[in-house]
Amino acid sequence: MKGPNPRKFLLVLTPTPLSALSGIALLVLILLAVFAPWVSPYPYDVQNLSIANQAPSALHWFGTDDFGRDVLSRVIFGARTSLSVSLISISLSLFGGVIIGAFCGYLGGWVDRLGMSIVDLTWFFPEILLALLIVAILGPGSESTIIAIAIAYLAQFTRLTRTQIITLKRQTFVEASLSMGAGPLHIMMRRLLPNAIAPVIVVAMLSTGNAILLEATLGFFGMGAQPPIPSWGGMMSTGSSQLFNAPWVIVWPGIFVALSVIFINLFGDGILRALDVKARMRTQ
Amino acid sequence: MTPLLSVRKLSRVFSSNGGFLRKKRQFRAVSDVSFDVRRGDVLGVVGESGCGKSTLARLVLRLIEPSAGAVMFDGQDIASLPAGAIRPLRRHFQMVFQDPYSSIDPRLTVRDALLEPFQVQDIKMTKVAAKSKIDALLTEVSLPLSMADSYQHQLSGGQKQRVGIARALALSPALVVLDEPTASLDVSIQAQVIALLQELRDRLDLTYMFISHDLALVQYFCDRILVMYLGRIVEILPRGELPVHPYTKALMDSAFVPDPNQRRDIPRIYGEIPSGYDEPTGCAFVGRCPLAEARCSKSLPRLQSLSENHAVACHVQGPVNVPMEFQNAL
Amino acid sequence: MLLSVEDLKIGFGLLEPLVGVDLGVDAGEILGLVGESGSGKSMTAMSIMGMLPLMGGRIKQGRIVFDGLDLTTINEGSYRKLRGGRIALITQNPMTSLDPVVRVGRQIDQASQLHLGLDRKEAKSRTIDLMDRMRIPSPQHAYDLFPHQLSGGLRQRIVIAMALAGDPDLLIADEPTTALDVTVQAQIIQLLVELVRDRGLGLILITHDMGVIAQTCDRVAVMYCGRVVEYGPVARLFDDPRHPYTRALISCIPQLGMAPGTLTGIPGMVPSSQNLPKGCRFHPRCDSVLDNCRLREPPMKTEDGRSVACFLHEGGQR
Repeated sequence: MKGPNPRKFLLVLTPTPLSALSGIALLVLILLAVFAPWVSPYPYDVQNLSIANQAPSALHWFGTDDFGRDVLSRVIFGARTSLSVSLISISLSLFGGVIIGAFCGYLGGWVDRLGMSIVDLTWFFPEILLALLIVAILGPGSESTIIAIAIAYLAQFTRLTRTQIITLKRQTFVEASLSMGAGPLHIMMRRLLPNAIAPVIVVAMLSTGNAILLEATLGFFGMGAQPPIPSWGGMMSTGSSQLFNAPWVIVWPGIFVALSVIFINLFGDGILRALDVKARMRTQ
Repeated sequence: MTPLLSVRKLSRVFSSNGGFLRKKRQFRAVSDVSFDVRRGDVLGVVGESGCGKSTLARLVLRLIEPSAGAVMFDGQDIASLPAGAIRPLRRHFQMVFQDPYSSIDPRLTVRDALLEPFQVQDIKMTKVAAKSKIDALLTEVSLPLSMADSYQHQLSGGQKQRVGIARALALSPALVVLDEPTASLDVSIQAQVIALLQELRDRLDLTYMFISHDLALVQYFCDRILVMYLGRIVEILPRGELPVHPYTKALMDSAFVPDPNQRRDIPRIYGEIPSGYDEPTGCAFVGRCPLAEARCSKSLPRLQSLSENHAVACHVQGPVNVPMEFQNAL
Repeated sequence: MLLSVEDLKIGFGLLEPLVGVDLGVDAGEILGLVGESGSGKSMTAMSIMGMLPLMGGRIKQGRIVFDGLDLTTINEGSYRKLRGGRIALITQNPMTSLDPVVRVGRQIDQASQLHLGLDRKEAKSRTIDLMDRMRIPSPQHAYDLFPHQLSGGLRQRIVIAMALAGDPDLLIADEPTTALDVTVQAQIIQLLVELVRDRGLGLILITHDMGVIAQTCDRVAVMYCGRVVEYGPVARLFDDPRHPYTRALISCIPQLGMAPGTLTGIPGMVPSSQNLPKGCRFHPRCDSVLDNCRLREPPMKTEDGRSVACFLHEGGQR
């Protein structure tokens, strides 16, 4: 089988100028996070109380916090924590959700009922409450944040994959594969999953935005990455006490949270539309 | 020579899920069906929606598990083999599906769709061999070779159905089950596809089981016709012979002859096929039958031979029952 | 003529899915519109029903005269009074033309209340009467059922009753039986024919089945790629089909007693309206092409009651 045509693939990823720009912005943000030690002007943890709570200046573009640390450097390093935590947790959640959903949808019967009942338990709680609960059990830290977010989003990926698989399972082309003598592995890996995965990936992308918010919230409650490692939520939490005399400490991480969520949503939206156009082309 | 396919007392009952305030119900999709298909023959299965013809097709190919009965394919009962043992055998019996739009994976090119049977059956081919195989298959169904790189959404209905036929032929099967392959096509394209199927059968020595709702088409295309009503065979008749069962007659009368000089004000039968849930004790057709008598609703008519190839299940029109003591005299 | 369509041309942007359509139907008469999918049959129906603007199309040329009134000149408000009233449409799929949450009897009531101004009681007795005439068993009981409780054939009878509720003069049936079983299809067609004969309706019957045409229609218009290629009385059209397309369509119908190998179909397929061939639109699939066919579109020639657009018959000669 041939892989997708690379130029066509890029075209699919950038259907509108807005989503293309968001994609580029996201890429810049990710590069900043990856190369944080090289691009940030100062280390994130060097304290200098003599310059505490300074307003943005030529030396410290985003100002400094109440320990005299450079806010810009902390925001760049914070991007590392926030982006990696949310990306890893969503990937985990996606992986688990697709596997559970595919099994439940394909096998049906009691496996389906049991699996879905367990997964649905997580839907009884609002995600923030569930995440807090899990972190409270596991203890604060990046690892528990990742697990908490992964579990909070598991149900949506499971549900979506399962519905997709159940719809696809009834398609004639699956019956056709069966009639050629295909086994369950072939049906699942060649027929069902490749056709089911696209919308799930898009939802995953959009959820990454929410995961950044959730991570920030957990950080704000002091449940995320522990000091001195910076995270956007944690920075906002410490900045909240200085809201009136040093607003830049809370404003900058806030702006980055908002921007990354907006960029992710715009980018995801564009991809959703591109997939939709492709789907419509097929049905015509 | 043994028939390629012989089906004996094949039945399938579906049970609907009972639920709150709802009784569990049983639906007899196919009841007690027996027939043979000789090598090289085209067997037509005709009936209206809900008569069980599509279920029968899938039972014969073991795409649905039978509730009872045997399906002897080339001397082997495929109804009782374990599922894993069936899979390598599947290359000998293939299917063409009704809806060409959904029978090909939308992500696949025509080439990939035609290579799938080989992948599934674990038949390794070099790139060159695969290419020449694809070319041969496309030529077989009169599609241009350039179509190998098209996706199914770029093809017309007739072209998709040709790809479906090519895919069914890929593994050189002995039996091909055609499940209303032309029902969703225009008449002009239907005629093309039928002509193609006929030519392929002659050239490749295929045996067909052809499912359709169109009696005229089945009469044209098939050597023997099996008429089904509510899961049972009501008549098996050879091509060219006149129907005997009132239902087959009604089907025939419902056909619109394309000749305005032969207009008929047909006293066409009334009513519609009843639901398969509440199976009547007698003949299933009794409610719509113009010839129904008292005994028809009391006992189920058995399929009885009129001649070597012709059998009918009807109390009124069936063979005259000769009392035992006179049978020797005849 | 109850309805006559004269030289109709419609446009959707730059596309012209119908060109030069001429046909007519009288009261008590059945006109058949036949052709493969994509030939413009349904588009013709939509044009007569005045539904083109809703679909983004418009009439570029020609007239649609219904009972002396040129429908291309009236506004949407007047059209709304005609639609479902004096002109009614029966569509292919009875399930989509019925409201699933309203009792079928009420749906028929609504049509007669809207177009005849009846009150609820009058409407109900008229509905029961209509349902009885549609041979719906025990109409009093059926009145209170929902569409999903009825079989496909009964649903289509309800749809026909609904179309008749506004007391129409012209009925357009767009493939009314395609979704139905063979025996039920025969019943419904029979019912439509009786309606035309007994009540003096005009009926335009759209179908792809030459068999249905032969058994029911008085006149036929054979359409291909948005044009009427042959038009005339049914008996003469079948006895002596002039256009190669008409001949080919008739030969596509499997008939009882046909010899094997005689059913060949029409080679190729209907071209899309974006990609029409030059010259006669049928020439790439035609079995008797002349040089002229590749260059120009043959004009419609009318001669003693029947018309054909084919160069083989340009002088009225074979």
